[in-house]
Amino acid sequence: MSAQEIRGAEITFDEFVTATAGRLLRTAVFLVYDRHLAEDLLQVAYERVARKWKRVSGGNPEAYARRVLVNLAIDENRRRARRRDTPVGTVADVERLAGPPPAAGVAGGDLDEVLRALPAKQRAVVVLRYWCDLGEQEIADTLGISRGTVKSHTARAMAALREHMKEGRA
Amino acid sequence: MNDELEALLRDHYRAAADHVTADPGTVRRFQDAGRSAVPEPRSRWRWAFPALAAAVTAAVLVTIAMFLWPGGGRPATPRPMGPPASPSVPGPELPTEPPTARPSPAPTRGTGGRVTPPGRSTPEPSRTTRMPGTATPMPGGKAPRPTTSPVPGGRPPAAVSPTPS
Repeated sequence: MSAQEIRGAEITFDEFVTATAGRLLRTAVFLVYDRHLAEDLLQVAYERVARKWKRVSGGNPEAYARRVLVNLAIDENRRRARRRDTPVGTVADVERLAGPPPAAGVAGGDLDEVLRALPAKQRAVVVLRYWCDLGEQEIADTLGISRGTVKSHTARAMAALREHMKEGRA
Repeated sequence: MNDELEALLRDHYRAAADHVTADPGTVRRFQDAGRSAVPEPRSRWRWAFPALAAAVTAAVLVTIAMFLWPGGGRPATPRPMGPPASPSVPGPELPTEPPTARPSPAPTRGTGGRVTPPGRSTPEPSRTTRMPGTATPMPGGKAPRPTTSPVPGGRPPAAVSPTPS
């Protein structure tokens, strides 16, 4: 995600959504591995940005939207992990929660399985680092944690991925 | 190993991103959601008129209550307190000095004698106590004799032993 971030001072909310929807939707999909859930979370994030648009538009609205989105995704992943044993909702929802197929459009594979299995914060750190290209301090600001915690989350996630790669080669 | 893994992750996300696109319908949905989340400027003043009406009503009620209160909202005129009325000396004068400087009407113990201010009557301690020596008019013109005479020192009178006759 090397595209320049949108500065909100000179654009309207609708223009901001048009410019950032694709990037943020991909971020959301990588965070939750569920296209429908990703859209819902991004919609909630946009609603919160719109409510604070006057205050946020002067700075970096995309960073604010990303922070809201990532925290919503972490909360949702935790909730899903807690309720994995007792899924509720329609049949489609149950299939979506239980089924292994990744979100539509996301390339499946072993790496996806490992990334999906990571704890919510570790996965968020990996997405922010290798998809959003954020530095440690930016990741810490986005997640509301310290730089040291970012480092430890990254190290654990990388260890899990490395383990997976070793197993794949063996 | 780490660089290889990082490159693998970047490639993986880049490849996956090509398959995730936000179609115009989704973008419109996000825009509509944001627009509906923002409160309209008119709705901010929605409660202004009811709040103003409530405030005016409350102010009117408070004003009416103040006028209907006993006293009409004015403080009661202060009235000077006179000394207790003495039946023996009619026509008590109003005190000219502050009430705190007035001598206490109750007899105080420990003082040898009271100094009566000149020109002022001695207030009676109590109207109900019957003083010895005060004559009560009786039919026949005789004044009743006191059954007991006050003994100096406050001791009760000695018992009279019956003498044999």
